[in-house]
Amino acid sequence: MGYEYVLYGIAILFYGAASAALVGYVYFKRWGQWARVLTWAAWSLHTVALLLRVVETGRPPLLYLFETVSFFTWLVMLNYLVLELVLGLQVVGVFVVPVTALLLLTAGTLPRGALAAAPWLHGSWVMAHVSLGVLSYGGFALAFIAGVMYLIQDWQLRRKEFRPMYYRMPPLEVLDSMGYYLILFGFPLLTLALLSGSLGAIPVWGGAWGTDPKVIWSLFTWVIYALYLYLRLVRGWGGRRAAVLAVVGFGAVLFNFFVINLYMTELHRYVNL
Amino acid sequence: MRIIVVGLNHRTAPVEVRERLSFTRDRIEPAYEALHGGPVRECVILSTCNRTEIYAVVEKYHAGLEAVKSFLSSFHGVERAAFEDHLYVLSGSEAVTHLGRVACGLDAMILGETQILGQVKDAYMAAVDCGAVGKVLHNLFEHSLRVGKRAHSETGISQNAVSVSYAAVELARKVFSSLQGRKAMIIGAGEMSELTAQHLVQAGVGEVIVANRTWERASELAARFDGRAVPFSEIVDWLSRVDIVISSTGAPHVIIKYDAMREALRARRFRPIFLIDIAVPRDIDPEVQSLDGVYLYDIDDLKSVVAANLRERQREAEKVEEIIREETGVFEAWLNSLEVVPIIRSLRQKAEDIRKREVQRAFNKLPDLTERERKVIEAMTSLIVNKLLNDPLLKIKEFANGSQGRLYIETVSELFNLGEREDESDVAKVEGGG
Repeated sequence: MGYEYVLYGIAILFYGAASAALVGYVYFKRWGQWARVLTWAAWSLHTVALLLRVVETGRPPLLYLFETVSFFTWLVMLNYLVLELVLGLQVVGVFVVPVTALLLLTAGTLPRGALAAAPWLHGSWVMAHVSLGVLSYGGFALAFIAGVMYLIQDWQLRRKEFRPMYYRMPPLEVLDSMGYYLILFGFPLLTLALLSGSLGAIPVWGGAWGTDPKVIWSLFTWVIYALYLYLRLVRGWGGRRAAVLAVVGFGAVLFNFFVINLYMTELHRYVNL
Repeated sequence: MRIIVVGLNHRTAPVEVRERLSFTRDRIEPAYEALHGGPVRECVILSTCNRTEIYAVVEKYHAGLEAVKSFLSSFHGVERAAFEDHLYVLSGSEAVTHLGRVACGLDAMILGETQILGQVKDAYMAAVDCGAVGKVLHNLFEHSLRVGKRAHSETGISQNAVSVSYAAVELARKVFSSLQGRKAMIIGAGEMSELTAQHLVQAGVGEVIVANRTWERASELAARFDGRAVPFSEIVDWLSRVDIVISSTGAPHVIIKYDAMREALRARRFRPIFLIDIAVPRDIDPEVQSLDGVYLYDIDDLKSVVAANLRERQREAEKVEEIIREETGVFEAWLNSLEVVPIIRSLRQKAEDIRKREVQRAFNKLPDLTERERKVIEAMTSLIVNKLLNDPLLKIKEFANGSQGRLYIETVSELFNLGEREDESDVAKVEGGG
């Protein structure tokens, strides 16, 4: 375990440095090169740390809260790096990388207790449920960032205040459709996560799980994203309203992850908390 | 040999002085005839509406400078006193850096403008045609054109519009993912809206709709853009179908009202619409800005965009300076190597002359030497000379590439008293190269 902490420590430092370089990039375009190098270095370390964990335990890194956060941020970073390679949207990193650094740091310093993993946690239903959930959260996270960027740029265009950030941003329409496609990607995954969760829970928990706060909140989250797609596809919503909804939706996801998991749910607790 | 630049520009001289010293295209040949030759070995005249500059390779700084100044005075028939105070004179690496800055548009009235790069190229070509360019200025101008291209491609110095009409197009680009195939409506066919429409069409806008009070002018403008003229009364109907509106009528009242815009938006299902109002008094009710998906800019907004863009260019200028420094270093290394070759040649020559003379003297004093003994003495003296010169020659080559290269070359030249005859052969070489 020791070397893993060291690896994560260095990775977080690199993410921090990359964040600083990305903020610099907003003001001076040439900082982008440094930011790119640092980001890739951080993500490579992150990848190694995750791989070591998987090799050591022989299961997906989704059992403990920290693992899950690590896997989740890794996934979001992967999406971002692909996005940057394909579309050249380094500006997305200005939001993604600092959030990744903060999430890793927060999850890394949360209190840990010792709790034996229940045998049912290793079941394939559970693993499918958790993996699908994390994958969908990855999509929602980037949709959230696209939404925030949309709102910032919309604000700048309306207020006619052209800060350095204005020059780095892609067109509004690009941000709008980026958010849309990411939610289109995340929503079916979330749906499958909820279905596999309920199917897997019946033999283990019986009927009691229906009142678990996490289950209720997850349904609520699902409804927000369903509403997003409904308004978009049927009512022709887009632009600012859609962006706000994408931000609200991910707010619900974060609340689920950090507040409900830690303080409210009995059944959905991570193993060592 | 020295590179100098003598000139004046929009900062150092008022237009009354600049216009008297400017060179028109049809008078450029006699100008080169009068300037080229004598102390001026090579020259390029760069004359634009903002500057007149003469780049020259001269043998001796002062004589060269004098020649250029009196050329300016006699060619234009202007007394030296009338322009001398406005002149700037740079030489050596400062002159090289200056041309780099000019080529990148750092020295221009509008920071980062790209037109000047073409003007530098044209001036260089004209000088080549007149036979006024030799090896040194050839390389100097190739160097500056490379600097200019690098600055435009590697930095944002020429990005972000600094004219109002182009700023409007760029703003539209910040809203729409692409302008390809979009529809634009022009209301009121003024010069400004025409210019903006032209930029939009160049950027890919597919269809232009023109509405004007006088039908004739509308159809005339529409024809120019392969567009379509519509009656003034249909403007509101078109709001739901176009993506960009440019309005510049002389109407005393608002033409696009809040309610009409709200209706149009509903019909467009909140797809964004981009409105430019360059009319004073304004044509579009400013209240429409509060509607979702409406991006409205009036003339003052566009001017503030231009101001912001200029600030952004200012930030990029730093990076351009870096490129100039880098490329100037490369050019100077080349220039030094150009001077080091003749120095080495004449140093060798001088040593060999001395050796031969002294060996002959010795032979004269010792007439009884056998052929074998003579050969041994010849070989020995050659060895002494070569071994003695070996290190200094290597070092000269090395120093020539350093930052103090010029100084070393001059020192060596002085130390061995190589100066005078070196200059002669250098002239021949440089002119042969052109």
